[in-house]
Amino acid sequence: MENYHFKVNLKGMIDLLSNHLYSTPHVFVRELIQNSVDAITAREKHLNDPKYKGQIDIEIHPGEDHPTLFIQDNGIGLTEDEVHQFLAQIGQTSKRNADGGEDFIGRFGVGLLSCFIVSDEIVFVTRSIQSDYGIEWRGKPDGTYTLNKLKDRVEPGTRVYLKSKTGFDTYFEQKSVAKWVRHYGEYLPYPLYFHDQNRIQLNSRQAPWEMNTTEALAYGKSVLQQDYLDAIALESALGDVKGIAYLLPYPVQVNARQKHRVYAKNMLLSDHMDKLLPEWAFFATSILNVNGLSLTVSRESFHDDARLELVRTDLGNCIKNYLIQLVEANPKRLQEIIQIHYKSIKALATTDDALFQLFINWLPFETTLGRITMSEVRKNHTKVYYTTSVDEFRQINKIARAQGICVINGGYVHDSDLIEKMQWIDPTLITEKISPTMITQKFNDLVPSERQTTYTFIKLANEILQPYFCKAVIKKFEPHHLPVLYTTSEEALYLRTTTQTAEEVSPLFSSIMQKITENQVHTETAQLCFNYHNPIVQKLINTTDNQLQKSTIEMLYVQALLLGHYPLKQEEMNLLNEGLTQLVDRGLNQEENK
Amino acid sequence: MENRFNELMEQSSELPHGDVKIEILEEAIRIADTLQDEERGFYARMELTDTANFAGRFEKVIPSFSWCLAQLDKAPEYYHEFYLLWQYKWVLYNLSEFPQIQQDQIEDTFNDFKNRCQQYGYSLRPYYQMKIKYAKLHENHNLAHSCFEAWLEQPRDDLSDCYACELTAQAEHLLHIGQVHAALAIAEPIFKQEVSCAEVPHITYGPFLIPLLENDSPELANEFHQSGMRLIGQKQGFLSTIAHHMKYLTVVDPNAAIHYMEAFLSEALISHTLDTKFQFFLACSILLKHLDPETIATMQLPDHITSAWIDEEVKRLAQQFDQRNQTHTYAKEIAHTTHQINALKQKYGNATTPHLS
Repeated sequence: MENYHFKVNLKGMIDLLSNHLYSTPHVFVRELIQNSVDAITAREKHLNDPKYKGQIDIEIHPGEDHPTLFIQDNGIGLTEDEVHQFLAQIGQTSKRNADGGEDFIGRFGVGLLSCFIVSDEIVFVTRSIQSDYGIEWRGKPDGTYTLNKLKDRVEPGTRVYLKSKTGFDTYFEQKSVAKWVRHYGEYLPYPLYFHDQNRIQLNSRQAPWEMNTTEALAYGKSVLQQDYLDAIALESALGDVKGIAYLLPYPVQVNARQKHRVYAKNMLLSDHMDKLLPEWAFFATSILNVNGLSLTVSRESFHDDARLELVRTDLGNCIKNYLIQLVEANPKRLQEIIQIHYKSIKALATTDDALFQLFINWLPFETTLGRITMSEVRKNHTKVYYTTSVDEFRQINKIARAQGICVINGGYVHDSDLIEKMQWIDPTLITEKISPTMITQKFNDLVPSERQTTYTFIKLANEILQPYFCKAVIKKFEPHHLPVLYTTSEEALYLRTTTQTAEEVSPLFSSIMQKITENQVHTETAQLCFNYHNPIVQKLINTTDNQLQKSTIEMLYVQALLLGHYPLKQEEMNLLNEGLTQLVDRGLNQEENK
Repeated sequence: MENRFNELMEQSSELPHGDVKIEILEEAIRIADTLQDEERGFYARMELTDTANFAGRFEKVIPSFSWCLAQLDKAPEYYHEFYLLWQYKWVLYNLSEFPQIQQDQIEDTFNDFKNRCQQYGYSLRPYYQMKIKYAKLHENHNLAHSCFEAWLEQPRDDLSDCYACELTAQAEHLLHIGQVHAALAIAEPIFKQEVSCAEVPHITYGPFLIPLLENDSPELANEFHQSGMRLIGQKQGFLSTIAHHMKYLTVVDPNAAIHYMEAFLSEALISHTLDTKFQFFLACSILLKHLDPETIATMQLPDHITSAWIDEEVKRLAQQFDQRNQTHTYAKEIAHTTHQINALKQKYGNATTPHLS
């Protein structure tokens, strides 16, 4: 049996890389620098000589037809064997050494592939520190290459010449290359030179992850052009990560995608990486330098594995601990942060008991008495009422406010979770979920004599409303000017929506919806509560004109639906039309009779 | 009111799939309907169908989906069919979850979908894929098998599930017929993080757990459990996957399962998708049998939720399904799963449990 190698279509692979794997053609700059960095690191390791200092030089030659990029490093270089080897390794990315590190040569090959996105020929001159002659390698995207031993003596290290292919000249403009080189490599721990008319060093003096809070905030302002609320030092020993978390000065939506600027061993990996901080930390953006996490094939993100999860927790704890110490150290700052980011702090508190206890009283909630903090709610009320949906809150908002009852709108993400959690944390606190129907139950009942006078009226109202799954009651409540209150539960509302929808869909789905709803137990139907204190209702009860009474009840019902933004079913629409016509007719007749 | 509509739609676009988003969209729909604005109504309902589906609130999917479908039928030149047919797959997948819905209604729906696919020139690949679950629920193994084969024979097109979802579905089928190793091989690209989507691999790990324990791979099971739950976190709409994880924990570390029962019970209680509810309650019911009363007393559960109540619910749901399907699938599943967990507990109960962080 013989072993054969099948050929991979290199052009196809390059196409795949450029279209799917890398986010922009600029990555060839990154890959070239990365190769130099890896070569320098390998030489440092090999020599173990503190006097050796790595260096990378970059230059652009304008050229006659197309510009050429030249990059040189004084790293470990490749031997002739290694040059053959690295080409054989193209595409083989997960190969690892015995010591668990990534294979230097294997990675080299993949990095070089990205150069073919912008160039038709790569010239690669290298001399290994273990070899006494240099090698020139010329490779083409069709997978062919030539190799020459160099007669002239060259210093150990590697030089790459990359000539732009037609249509890609813009990626080789001096300004653009210098910008991208700085972008990726400004924090490398050895000099990175760009040769223009002069030699310019592109490195910056201090990396953000080495800065203190004041420096980091200043850096944020001048370089990132953002006046951040605060800066928190991040560290994870496990992932060998150091960084800075900036608290955003504006509120962000729950679950907004995080954008972190991440460096791997001082080289910029991505400036929009997510998943490095816990999900709840969406109010922060960060700059991180990571040494101990494994990269995916594209080298633009990390493997989302258990190790990353632990690092994420570490980094999250840094933010958490910082917030906790603020309670004592700088409550004013904490208040500023909470005012802007209470949503994410709420998210955090739902799953973290310690934080919950620290922050719950500071957090704002929407209530029938306006937006107030939990401590304000608790100060004046021994019992905390809340609704679990925005819709229910809206139904009772006006009524509860008129009666001075404080009800929290628990319909927003996390709010009802937090309130329900309160009683587990503090057993002395009484919380009660309240529904619109319960609010109406708290209204004052009529005295027996009043019940007598309203008996026939309510009986009639119930007969009229029964086809609409709605019950009629009469009570006394504030504000007086409100004649009726329509309340509904989630179940009743669902029933209403499905019956309404069933009128408009195909017979098949109409029958399916009938089946879904027919066996539901209607524990709570909608309810129309008349206000005994309201003058119109008083007149309505006392009128002897049955027809007028009937159409007014119908109209009050339809009006209540419209005020609550409930779209009308066909039958209700008919009620509205008929009722209006009748009332208009009646009015005009009265006019005539005068 | 139009402003309010836009405001609500904007709010909803920033929210994760869940009850809050559902409510905001429902309010937006009520406004669109009040304005008699069909286009806005259509747009908001499409969003609601998406959200309700991913949040596991399937009872809300049907009205909003079928309303949109009716609009498409009314004005086929005005609306595009593609995304509706995509949502139609969810409807097919979930329809059997309602024991109230009759067999012939389910079959009519499958036929309606099939006709529409043919009418618009789409492959029948999803039709057969969705039918596998239906066939399994009716214990019709021949139909399940022929649908599985037909599914893979039909060409892929835009209406097919994404590659990651299809691999997960294939793996689940293989697990269902007891071929763990084949399932592992099929799902390998998912586990190596080469393919993924919004729900994969979240839902991929769960179904592997019990089969892995049965196949003497507790370490891999533990790894899968950690990876799966890490992705699901607190998210809504993963109840049936969580049920798998709870069954697994009942075997290796029942105390660790308590947290999941506490955290997801409220979602299960209001769920109208009864097969999912059944799966979750069955897992709870078995878990409670493996906890001592003192531990159960410490659980943070609503007062009326007792072990006996959950057992009753499981039985009641099973009866409802079996009655409709004219089979004993659900009753058998209760007995089978209970026995399976007991056997696994015997096997692993005294051995050292895999390390759980």
